Amino acid sequence: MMMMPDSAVPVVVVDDHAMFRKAAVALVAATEGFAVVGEADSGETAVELVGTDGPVLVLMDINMPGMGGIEAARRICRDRPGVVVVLVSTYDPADLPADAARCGASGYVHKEHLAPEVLRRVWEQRGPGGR
Amino acid sequence: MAQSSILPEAGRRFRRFIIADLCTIGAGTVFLLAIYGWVVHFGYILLLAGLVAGLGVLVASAARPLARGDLERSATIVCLATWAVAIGLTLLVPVLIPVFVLTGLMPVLFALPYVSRARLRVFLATSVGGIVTLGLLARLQDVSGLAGKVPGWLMDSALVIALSILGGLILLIVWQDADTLQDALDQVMSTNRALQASEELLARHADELAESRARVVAATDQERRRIERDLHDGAQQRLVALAVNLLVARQQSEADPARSGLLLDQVADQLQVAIAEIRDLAHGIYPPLLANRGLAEALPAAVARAPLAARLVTTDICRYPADVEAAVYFCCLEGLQNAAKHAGPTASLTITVTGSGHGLEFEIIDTGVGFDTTDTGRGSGLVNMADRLAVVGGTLAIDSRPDGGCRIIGTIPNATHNITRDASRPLG
Repeated sequence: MMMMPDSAVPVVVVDDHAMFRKAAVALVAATEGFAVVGEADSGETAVELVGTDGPVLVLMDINMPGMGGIEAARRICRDRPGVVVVLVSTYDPADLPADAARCGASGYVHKEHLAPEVLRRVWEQRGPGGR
Repeated sequence: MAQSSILPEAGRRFRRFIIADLCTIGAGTVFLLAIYGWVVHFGYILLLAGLVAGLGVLVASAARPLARGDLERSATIVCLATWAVAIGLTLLVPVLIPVFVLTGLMPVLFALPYVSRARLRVFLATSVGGIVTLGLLARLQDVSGLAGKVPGWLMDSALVIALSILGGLILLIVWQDADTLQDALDQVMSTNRALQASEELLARHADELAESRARVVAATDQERRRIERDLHDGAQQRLVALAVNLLVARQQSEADPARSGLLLDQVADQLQVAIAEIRDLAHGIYPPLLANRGLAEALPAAVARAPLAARLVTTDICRYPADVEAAVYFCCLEGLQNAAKHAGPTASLTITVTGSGHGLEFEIIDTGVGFDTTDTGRGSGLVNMADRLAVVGGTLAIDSRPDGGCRIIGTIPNATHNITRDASRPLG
């Protein structure tokens, strides 16, 4: 886990594509009030990485080799109800698998639309203050 | 009608019959001439000789349609000629009517296997009419009055001898007819067997075609999935990351210009990579050089990119239909990839593409480790090559043995069909 300001929302970025993962990390770092605390390139690593304390925002890619983002989201949400998992992918919402809506994730963001205000809106609506 | 081509023996039998017919009538005529010369008026000898000469000309004229294989027409001429002589002779020597009746029946008996059913009915009706005519003529006419002038024993002997000869001839005809019918039966059986073999071959080809089509469809689907995957994992991810990086760079352009500049440098580099990826992907789908300049320029480029030592020789190749060019190009590409994977690190490869007339042939020879074609069978790469060629009417042959390299030959017999593309289209 990386160090972060006390007030910042801790974010974990999960994506097997290193290039997008780095871009997402840069975006989170540039967003006030959010801080990257971890990166993972697979669902398995993400499940291990999400800590046991405090609320965390997870940006979870859907299509990854191995476990995949949906199954990882389902396990994280089951074991850590306080964690907010947001699925990200390049597919249109209409093309998403059916179990994406049942895995416990708080929402879905197309990778093209990932932006600081989207992070803030998601956290306001789905984070501890919004629920 | 060309029955001689179906039954080669029939023509020879027919010629033998014409000769026998001529000999019999000739012998009978000589006999009658002798009697006429002895007993009757000399003028009848000339009449008789003219009749026989006419018969000879008619029967000889039957040789022409016979040579063409038109046995039906030939049989008709022989039949009519023989009947004409029989009627003529009956007028002269009515006492020998049994001989002439049998003579008149001979052509019908012989023609049986050679004429159509419709023509045979005419033959039979004519024969019945002829017999009735002969009977009437024999009853009403005795032009020469020969019967009263020749001794009874001589006419009886002539009758017996002539009937015996004709009886033997009729038996011979029946024997020949049986042979001809047996030949026809053998021919039918042989044709039937050939037909069955053709049907089996056709069914096998249909099965192979269906399997090939299914493989082509599966390969196409697999290719679509690969392209989708390549696009999703490659270019799309890079472009999305670029969009995010640009967003961040813009946001930080005032607060942290140095960081923003660094991000923009990264974006520029990543953009070049994304462009190269898209170009490679498009190249894998259908190389622009192949579309615009054909095999003559696309193949050297493919060989130059090959991961092993490769040489290309092209002879007399021009522009071909897109499906033909794609089939040859991707077969050669498959051959290069196969050799790179399996031929071993020291292998080298030579591709030869040769155009000849309407055809196009390519040969891919590598000096690698080879394989036993009987043990290994065809790998998916080789099956893909065979399927690609089958679509454009081509075939694939493989020759390889362990430690003996591999030789793949693709042949497209008709490669120049339906060329419609403008070969001068500039590169885009």
